[in-house]
Amino acid sequence: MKIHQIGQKKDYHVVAVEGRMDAVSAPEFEKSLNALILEGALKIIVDFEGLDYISSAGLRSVLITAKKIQSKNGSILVVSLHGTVKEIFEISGFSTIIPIHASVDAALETA
Amino acid sequence: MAKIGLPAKMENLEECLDFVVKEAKRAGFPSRRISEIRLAAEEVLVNIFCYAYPETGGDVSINCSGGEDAFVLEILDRGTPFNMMAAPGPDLSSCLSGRCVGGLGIHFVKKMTTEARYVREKEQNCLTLVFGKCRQK
Repeated sequence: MKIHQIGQKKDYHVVAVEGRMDAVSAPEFEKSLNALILEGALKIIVDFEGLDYISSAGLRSVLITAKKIQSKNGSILVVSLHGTVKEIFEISGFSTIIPIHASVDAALETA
Repeated sequence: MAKIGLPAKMENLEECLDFVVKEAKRAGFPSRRISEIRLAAEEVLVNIFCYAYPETGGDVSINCSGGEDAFVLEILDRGTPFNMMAAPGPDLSSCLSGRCVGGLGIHFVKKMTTEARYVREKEQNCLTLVFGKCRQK
């Protein structure tokens, strides 16, 4: 898994995740996003365009991060889900608790 | 039947999953389905790595056999007796703040498999996961 800090678009910090988010790599995602929140980022877009796989450990990290941001009255948007990753978000019910958009641009338009 | 046996530790997760993926490919399963097989295998293995041997270390064994219509994964450990398939699933209806951080793995295993069977035999937990060529929705 690779995490790319894309930079800021409007009020949002955009982070792109590539590869597989499993029990081994998920803590790295959490750590990376946590560092961003500690730096003061309260509006974050997570771009999963390059993410091919996510397990419950990955979702757990997404959930922990989302809760952390929510507790600070911030917001997290997830974009560009596809294939198995999209399916996993639907099966887990995460699609209904975390805002999901088709792309970074689509998220910025509605945000 | 292809087999692999390794110490039940998180550092061996990738090797176990690479083995499962390689065998599912060899059985001619489509890539989307292989991702689902990998997911079910990861959920079972992580559970074993975290909870099967709370005090002592131990091993995990994986047996794979692939046929025309089904891919069968047998995952065995000699740890604490535990029937993952009988464990309660998560509450999928709660909102973000109420959502609890657990139970999803079991839910995924149930969703991804065509059939899942558990037996405790010869002091081993044996979980058999059967995958058809397509996930039944």
